[in-house]
Amino acid sequence: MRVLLFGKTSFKISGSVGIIILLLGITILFGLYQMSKVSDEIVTISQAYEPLQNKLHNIKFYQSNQLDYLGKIKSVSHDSDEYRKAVEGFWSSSVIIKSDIQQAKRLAETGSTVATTASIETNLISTHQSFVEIEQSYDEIERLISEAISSQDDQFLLAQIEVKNQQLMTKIDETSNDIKAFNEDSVSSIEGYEQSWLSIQIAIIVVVGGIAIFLRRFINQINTDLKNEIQVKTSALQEANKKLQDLDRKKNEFISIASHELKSPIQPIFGFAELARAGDIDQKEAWDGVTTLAKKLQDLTTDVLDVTRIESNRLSLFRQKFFVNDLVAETAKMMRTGISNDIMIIEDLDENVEINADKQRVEQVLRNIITNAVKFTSKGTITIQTRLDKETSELVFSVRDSGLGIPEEILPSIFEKFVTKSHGLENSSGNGLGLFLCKGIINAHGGRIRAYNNPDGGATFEFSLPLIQKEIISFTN
Amino acid sequence: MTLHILVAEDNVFTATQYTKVLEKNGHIVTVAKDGEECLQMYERELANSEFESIEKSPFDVVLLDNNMPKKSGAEVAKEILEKRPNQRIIFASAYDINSLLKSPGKMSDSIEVLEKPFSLGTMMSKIQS
Repeated sequence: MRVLLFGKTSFKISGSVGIIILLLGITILFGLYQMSKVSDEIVTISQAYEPLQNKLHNIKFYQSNQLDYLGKIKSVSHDSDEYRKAVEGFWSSSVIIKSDIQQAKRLAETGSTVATTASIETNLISTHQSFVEIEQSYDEIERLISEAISSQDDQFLLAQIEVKNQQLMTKIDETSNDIKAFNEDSVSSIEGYEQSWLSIQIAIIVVVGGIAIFLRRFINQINTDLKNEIQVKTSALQEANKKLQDLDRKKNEFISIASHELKSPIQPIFGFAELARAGDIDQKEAWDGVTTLAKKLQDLTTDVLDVTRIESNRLSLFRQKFFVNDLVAETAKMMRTGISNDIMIIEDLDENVEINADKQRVEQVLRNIITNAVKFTSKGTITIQTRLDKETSELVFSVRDSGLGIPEEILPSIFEKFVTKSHGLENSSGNGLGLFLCKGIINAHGGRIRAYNNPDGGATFEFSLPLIQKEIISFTN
Repeated sequence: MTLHILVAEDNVFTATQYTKVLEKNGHIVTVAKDGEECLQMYERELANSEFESIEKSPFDVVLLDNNMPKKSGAEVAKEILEKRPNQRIIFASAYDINSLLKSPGKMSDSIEVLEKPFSLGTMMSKIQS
């Protein structure tokens, strides 16, 4: 799982960086595209409007020329060279004006079909319309002028021409102004468009920057988390390593103690055989001694086997009903034999209740705890107490001694395996399994075990066993 | 020749067997059941014998089991040798002979080793040699 997290993190980081680069790239490309598009459009528009303006200028110029020609035609005699030139000039400029108007119309029309925006299209269409009107108004002027040329009485016509011409000029100027306005309009609308796109680009860059800052923080956070995790992991490993080393040390100690325990009965066994053979002791004494020593070896092997059973949760209990006080009395009696006269074992018993437990195992626990008490009490009393706790429906055994007490550094781990050293004494009489077995046996019965030092000296070991259900008690009563 | 022997051995059976064999061969045996008791007995005997001679050791031989409650054989030997550097000591040990001999520093010449298990006959000949 931890390995996966590392993988995920690098994926997150590379993914985030990739997204930032992609977004920035898109923004830049889009910006470039927009810029080129805008400048293209500005060029196109000015290119589209410029010829129209030129045409208007031309039309205006030739129109004023025509009026000059008309003046000349009217002022000189009909057969003169000047008259002929003026008529020629008049008609040729008429052709140029017409062709210019046609060209301008075509330009406006074509422009409106390829216009990039609707407003440009509308503008060009209205420009086209203006040119159509110019054409109509010019056609009328031309008709009036040609009439004026051929007729003799032309005062009225000339006045009409003057008016129409004025109208045409106004129209041309209006159109020119319109086109100018359209051009400026388009450029400013494109500029506005460009402005809005610029703001969008700025917004995108700001957002990307924000994402980048957020990712930085996010990655930082991940980094910190990882560091913390590694630290926690490392200290956990160190702790585990320490525990393993500790266990290894205890195991080595146990092996050295166990091998001593296994070896030490061998010497006296040889001794018994040797002495019996030589006739220094009688055979019965030798056999009894050998039997006792063999029993000691058997106990050790049984303890080791029991430890294995407890560790693999295979300790089987052979439960039977028995009266607690009887067991305590028997055990105490047995423990009193062979101990120093300086030690007194006292019983302080509550009601003699019946419990359902593995009698031999409970006896083993009691014996073990009393043996420990004896071991660390050179002189004093050992009190075995039973107490009925009706509230928790348990029977609590306690063994209190007035000995050396338990060293503080051993107390927390006293029920662990291979804990043997105490008071700095090289004590070879324990294999370090006794209390571990006691705890295993009591736990298997569903009880609890604990040890503490008495305020007035010595230690107390306390364990509880569950009572039989009330119904069964009343039944036996 | 009657020897005065101090035996330090926590195993009651072994101690009894030593006593039986040694007394049968006409020696005087004092038994201590742990390291501390052994030192106490040695000191008491030392105080008693000081009137006779400063050089003379209180026991002819000290037979030490290495693995004992309260004080190990090596510790007892060290303290005895501080008082009487020429005291003859025989180690009877079931294990750790090598580490015992290597530490601490160099062992005195007056120390001999009997590796357990040994026959009582071997022990006798070692003590009487």
